[in-house]
Amino acid sequence: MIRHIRLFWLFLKLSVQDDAAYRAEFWSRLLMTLYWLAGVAAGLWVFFSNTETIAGWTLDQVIVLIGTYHIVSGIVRSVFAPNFQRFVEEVRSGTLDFLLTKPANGQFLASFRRVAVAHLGEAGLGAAVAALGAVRSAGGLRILDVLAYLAALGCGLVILYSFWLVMISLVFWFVRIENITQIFWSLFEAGRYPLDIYPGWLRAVIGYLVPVGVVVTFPASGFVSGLRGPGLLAFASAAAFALFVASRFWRLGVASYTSASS
Amino acid sequence: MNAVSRLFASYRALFVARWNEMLQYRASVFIWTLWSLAGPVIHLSVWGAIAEANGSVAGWGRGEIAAYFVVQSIVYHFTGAWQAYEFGYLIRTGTLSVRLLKPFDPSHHFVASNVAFKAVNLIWLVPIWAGMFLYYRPALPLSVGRVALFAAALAAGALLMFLWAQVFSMFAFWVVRADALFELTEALGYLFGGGLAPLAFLPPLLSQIAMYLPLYYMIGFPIDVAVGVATVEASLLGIAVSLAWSCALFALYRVLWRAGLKRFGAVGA
Repeated sequence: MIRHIRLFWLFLKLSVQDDAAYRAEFWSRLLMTLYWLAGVAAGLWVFFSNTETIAGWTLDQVIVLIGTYHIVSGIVRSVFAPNFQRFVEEVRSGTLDFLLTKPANGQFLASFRRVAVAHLGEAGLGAAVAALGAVRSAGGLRILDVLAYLAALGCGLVILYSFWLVMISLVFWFVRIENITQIFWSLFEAGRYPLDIYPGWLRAVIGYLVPVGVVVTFPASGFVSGLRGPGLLAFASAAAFALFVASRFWRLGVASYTSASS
Repeated sequence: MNAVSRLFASYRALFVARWNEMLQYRASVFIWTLWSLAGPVIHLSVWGAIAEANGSVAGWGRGEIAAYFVVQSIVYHFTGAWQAYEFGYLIRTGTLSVRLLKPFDPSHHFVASNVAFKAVNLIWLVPIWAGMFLYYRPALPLSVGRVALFAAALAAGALLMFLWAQVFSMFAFWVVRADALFELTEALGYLFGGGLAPLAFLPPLLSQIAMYLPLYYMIGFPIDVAVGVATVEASLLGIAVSLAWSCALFALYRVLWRAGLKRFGAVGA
């Protein structure tokens, strides 16, 4: 475990060094995110000039939700998506061999080799927005709420990671699947708003099947209903289970991988 | 062969080529279509929830809101234009030179590609729209006159959006990432064009700004015509305004195109 954390730290440092050559990219991304956030703020103005709450969520709670959405979006774009793309290319060209023969866990290497630093800015801004919403919310900020939120966000990210791992493992059997990620982004878009607004079947799909709701709405709802011990414990066990299943699935995939030349 | 029939023949060839290309990549094309449906479905859900909680929004009931966003998914499809992304690529890589060698304005390629994409997608969009009508039960005042007005507003909106994208494409002659500029205007259209909400829901300040931008005529206006928010007179006036915007943008595009071409040649690309 310690070794993996140190490895990830090394990957992160290398990525920062690589991307330092493209500083303009970082700043322009950040500007773009700020611009979109201004658009989101204007959208909130439109919504809340017509109503007090959206499906029971107040303005402050929706701000926390939107911040959370951008934290998750930033992490997916900076860690999950770039590694996935590279991995898919490697399976197709057969160069995955080089990764599998390295003396470290293949799944770990395939998922965390590279961090697209430019997109980390979005996660940072998201955190700032979420903090703003949390501070503004009535009753003030309770440290317990914040801890519960962070724990739930961590579990949510583990579940989302498991989902991506299953998705990318499919490439072992079906070589052309980049389009899957486009479907993911369409559904992810829906996570900008509280899941409660969607009809039941759609909520089931976005909430649990493609775990957008679990990772965005659920942590943010901690500030609405007060997420506590039992709920968190159940969530953590769900995350552990998801990770276990996904790793199994990955191993099945690797076992059926035959390299390009053979 | 005279010029018109030659142009017609060229268009047919281009269109068939593009149609086949789209069918070849039907999976990707289909997924882009799904992506375009995400916005209307999401905003229908948000406003639907708000209307249910408050009884209505700005006098609109759930049925009217459903009508707005179901029609929006149709309008988005027919008025979409995205050649700014492709044109930026042509200039960056210099491949525009190849197209310039042909005795044929390169913009015809974009027209053909635009029309072919919209035509191919109808294969699966028509059943999807039918499903949305049945599922959401929109309150639409359907009459022959309304449908005719809607079709006219839609055509004017498609023309306007295409020219708008064409003008932004031309900026690629001067700036490296003109497509990023175009992306910025898409966010504006989302807010001021009627993407996020009917203009009637906007705070007065925002809806006032929206009236002075052409974006409303690309998205919100055709929808307002279809759902009956715009009266017959307002619809006719809107179509006229839309066409006036198109004339202005066309003139601007031609000026930029000539100036840009000179520059493009001057670089020696």
